[in-house]
Amino acid sequence: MHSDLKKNIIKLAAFGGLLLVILVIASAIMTPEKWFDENLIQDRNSRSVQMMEQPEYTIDVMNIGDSLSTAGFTPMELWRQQGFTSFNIGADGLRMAESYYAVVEACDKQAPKYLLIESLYLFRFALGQDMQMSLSQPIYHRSAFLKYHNIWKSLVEPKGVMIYHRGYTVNENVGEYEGDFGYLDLDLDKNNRMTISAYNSFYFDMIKKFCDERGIKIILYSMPSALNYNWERVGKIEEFAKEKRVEYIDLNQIIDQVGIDWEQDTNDNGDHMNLFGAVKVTGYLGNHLKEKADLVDHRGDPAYSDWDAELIEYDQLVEDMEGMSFQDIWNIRKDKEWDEKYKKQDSQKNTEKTE
Amino acid sequence: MAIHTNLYLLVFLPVVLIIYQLVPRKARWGVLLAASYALYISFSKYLVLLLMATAAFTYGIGRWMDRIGNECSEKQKECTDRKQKSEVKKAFQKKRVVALRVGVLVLLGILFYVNYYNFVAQNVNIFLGKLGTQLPMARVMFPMGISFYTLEAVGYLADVYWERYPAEKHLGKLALFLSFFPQIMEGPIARYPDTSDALFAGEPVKMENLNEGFLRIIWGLFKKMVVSDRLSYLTTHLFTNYKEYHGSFIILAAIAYTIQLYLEFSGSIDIVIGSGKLFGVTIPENFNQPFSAQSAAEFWRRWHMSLGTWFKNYVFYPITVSPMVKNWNKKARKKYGKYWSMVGTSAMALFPVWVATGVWHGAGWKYLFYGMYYFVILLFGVAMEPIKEKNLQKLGIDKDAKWLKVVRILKTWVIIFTGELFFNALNLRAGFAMFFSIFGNFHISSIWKYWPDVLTKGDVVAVCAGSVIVWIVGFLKESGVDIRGKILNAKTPYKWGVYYAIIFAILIFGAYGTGYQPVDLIYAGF
Repeated sequence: MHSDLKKNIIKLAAFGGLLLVILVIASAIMTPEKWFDENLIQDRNSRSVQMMEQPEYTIDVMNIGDSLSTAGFTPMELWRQQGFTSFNIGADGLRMAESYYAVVEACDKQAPKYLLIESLYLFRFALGQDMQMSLSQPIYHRSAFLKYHNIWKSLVEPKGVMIYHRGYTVNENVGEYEGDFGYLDLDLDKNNRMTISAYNSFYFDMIKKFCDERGIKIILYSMPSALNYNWERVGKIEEFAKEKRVEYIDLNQIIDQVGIDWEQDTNDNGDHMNLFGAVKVTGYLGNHLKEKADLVDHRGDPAYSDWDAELIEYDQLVEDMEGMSFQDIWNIRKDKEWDEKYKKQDSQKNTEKTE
Repeated sequence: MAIHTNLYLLVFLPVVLIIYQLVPRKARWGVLLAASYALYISFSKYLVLLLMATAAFTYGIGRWMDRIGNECSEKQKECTDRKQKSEVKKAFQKKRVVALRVGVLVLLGILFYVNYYNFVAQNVNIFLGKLGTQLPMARVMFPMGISFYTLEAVGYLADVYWERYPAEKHLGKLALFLSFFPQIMEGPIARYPDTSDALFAGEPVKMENLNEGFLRIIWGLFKKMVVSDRLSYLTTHLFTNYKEYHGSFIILAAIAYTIQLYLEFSGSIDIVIGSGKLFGVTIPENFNQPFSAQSAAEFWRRWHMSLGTWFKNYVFYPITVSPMVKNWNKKARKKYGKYWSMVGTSAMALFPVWVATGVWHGAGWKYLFYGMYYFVILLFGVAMEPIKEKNLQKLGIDKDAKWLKVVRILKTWVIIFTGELFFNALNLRAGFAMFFSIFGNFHISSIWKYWPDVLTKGDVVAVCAGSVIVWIVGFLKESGVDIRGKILNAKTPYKWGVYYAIIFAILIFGAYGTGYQPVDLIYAGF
């Protein structure tokens, strides 16, 4: 009986061990740097792979948070206005555990001076889902094989139509906010959580510790969002920021200074910023960062010429996007590619004929 | 912590298994009970008290019936003749009926209040509103698994009443039966003798059980994560935005939802049965290749079998043998003949079963309609059976001909897909709108032309490949090939090869990862 038990334990250990070895080898082979063409990465991972592909130690500012942050901060505008390099490393529906690993991964080969944290996702918490995250995120962090397991889809389908500019997607859609401009006085929908959980506070501490060790300053800020902020939430974040000893800026209290026009600057009736709102928010945060006087204006520096080149592309996209979706843009670009390809083939054929 | 999550599979289950093995055999049932309540607390918090109270109440009623039975036996011993004995039995039987009624009414009353009160109040208020009064709406939290454990408790009380087995003397044992953690979310609805002994036996963890349980769990995950969860994006989109789609898309929605529901429900039942097996507990099966059924009646003998069996045992049979139905049958036979009395009796027994089956799934007109839909189809099947046979004989068609079987299976599919269309529609009105729009604008080509981007080409490839694999396995099983047995009895390298193949299929093709929202278990909401 005893030897049977021993044999069984060895068998189980061997099975698990072999599985682990295969996973480790697969993950070692499948690292983004070695294997991935960013065009093959789909969905949510696009941003993080693009972040990893940035030239080493060139990013000054990182911006993290959920969709409020990625919709309301455009790094190309910060570059245009201040010459600071930045990147959006947030994601839709971001949760705390995911954000901690996003910061750790993004800082692998970068040493930003500032980490801007949009505050809304501090209120997002569901015990079961977040415990899952706590378990799966460290695994994804260590296993590229699992994190990028969807890469096989690229073999059978074209890349997603979204176009990212340093983690920002241009959105010119206007959905006017028709509610009360004094929205901070209002109650939020009952489904909104009004407290910051101990779990989220714990992960925030982890992010802060990581940043402190690397000399990264955290600025916590609240994006203008009529549907997501009121005095109660703002008060909670103020208290939280004090307790954590980080700077806090609430843009909702200084809407006029930021210049937000609720008729034009929101994409979806007061929830997220659109491009016009994002330009204003980025402008305000850029000025604030400039006042800190510890960031260098890289404009004109040949080492950062790729930013100038991308700014031209970005402006072109902004111009093209007027009244169009990413799908339209994608189709037009694809058509152009095909035209060029056929033109090339035709000219080759003509050359062969004349020869 | 749902049973398909990594928290359950990678942490909870192994930890419980280790603790279970480490404690003395006599205390193992306690580990399972504690684990069951811990899991329950993780999603229903203090409502665990209701689960505990249900166990205590069911235990009390069972013991009460037992005590009445014992008193009856004692009294009967004092009786001198048969007649006296029979009278004593009758008198005590009345007391037992009272006990049973109290038990069933309280259990079903709680279920009704939690599940249906607001629905009933909402509808009653439409009329009361005109009289200037309103029933108040209740603020109730939904206790996870209440529809499952309530039916188990009612079944237990009925069986004790019918003296199929004596009432359980150990409260912990009954509490464990009602709350066993793999089963609490999605069933299957077990009968007390199915699992109680194994749950209480504290069998040590055995290698063959680990193998069987593990294989079952990863197979369930494959069904759910590779196929079902991907399809849920498409079905959610189509059923929510049904006004934008017509014809072929609505048929696609019905078929896709049926596949999604089957693979998700049977997949999670695989996880349930696999989890039980790890502890040496054999949980009853809930599916048996339902899409091989040749009629709607057969489909329900193969689909959610534990629910069908429960209604058969505790609703259908008691009604069929009740004095009222027996009397009616006798009279009807004389007056209308054998055929019509058979149809009438079937209608009397089937009607409550299908009303109950419909509303068991939830409070809503669409669920009631779903039940009535099957009631009509099944009754029609009963009524047509003799006529069908006659016609086949007249036409000289062999009723076991293979082509006829295929036709029957396809006909059953149409019935199933239509039923699921109404089942998953936003409401009954939306269900009818979707159903009629099938005939409005039917163009198969519109599927490729207007394919919604919620399901990409890659997803479609995974769904199709996964479904084909599941279908092949089901087909082999239906043909009598014990594929699971073959894998489990194979030599270790082959066995491990299959395990790794399934695991890597899930890891590569499964719908999971950062930003991906795990799809909730559909039947956990019932």
